[in-house]
Amino acid sequence: MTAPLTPEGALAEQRRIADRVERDRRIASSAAMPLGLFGVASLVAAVVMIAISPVAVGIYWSVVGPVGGLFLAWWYRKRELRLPFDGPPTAVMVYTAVTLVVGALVLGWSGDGMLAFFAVGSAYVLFAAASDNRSTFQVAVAILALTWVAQLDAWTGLTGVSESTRGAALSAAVGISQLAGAVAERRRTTGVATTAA
Amino acid sequence: MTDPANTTDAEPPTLGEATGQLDSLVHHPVRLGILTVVAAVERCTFAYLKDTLEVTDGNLSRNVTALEQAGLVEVEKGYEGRRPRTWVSATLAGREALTRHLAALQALTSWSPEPPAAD
Repeated sequence: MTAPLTPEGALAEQRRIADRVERDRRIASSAAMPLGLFGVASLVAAVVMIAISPVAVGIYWSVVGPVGGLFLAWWYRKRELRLPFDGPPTAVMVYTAVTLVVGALVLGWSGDGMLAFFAVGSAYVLFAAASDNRSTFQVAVAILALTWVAQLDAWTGLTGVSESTRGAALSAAVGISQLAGAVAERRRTTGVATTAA
Repeated sequence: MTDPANTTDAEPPTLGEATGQLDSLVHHPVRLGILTVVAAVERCTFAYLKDTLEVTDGNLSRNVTALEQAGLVEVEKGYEGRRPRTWVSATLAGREALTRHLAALQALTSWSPEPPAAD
């Protein structure tokens, strides 16, 4: 690409490059995948909680958490090989995968699904740190806040609902918030301007 | 964010003005590509520039150096884990130079000579 450029050719080439960078930015910065993936997983967990038992949710997350975390680590890692990130994603991704594995195995097996959600929420904070993504961070904080509120004994006392119902409702709320975050992320990273300000 | 290519001023620059705003340093194909990429992101890796612009290491390095010496980009070397990384980012002057150059190109492409006066 060293031939002299006509004005029309220069503009066309500039637009082609700008379009490619925009596409790559969208892929690199998108947190829609982790949000969508665990949003669906959380909704499924709500069904498991109601249809089977809270203990089953622990088993469920002990499988879905590590598998999902490793898949996302691979997903991000694959793109890091080709795309520029504004930070060291490798260490964060490994830490995220370990957090998910440990969180799901140790906390999930305890039979209290809330704690597994806490582990997933913590992982989202790490994803947010890795991708420098504000919307991901907001969703992560929302999940953590929701989880901590749900952990309060007073809530159970006030509402008088069973633990499985409370867990299912929380899981569904988390799933919906994650899916909403995924949609917001898709919208946010679409049409990102790439020309100079 | 304004797209310089779509700037619509009330008084478009004349041919002379547009030609005068062209920046020979920026107009080089590789350097125009570099500025386009780095102006779109906070910073990017040397490897990403090479992959996106499809140029050799030497060619890219020469042109990045030329832009750096002109104060249009900044180069930062460091490590990502154990891997050495070179990051390139646009300076404010670089973004402005790109904007001016694209506006001049746009003006040139839309310029048409006055029709000859009928005798």
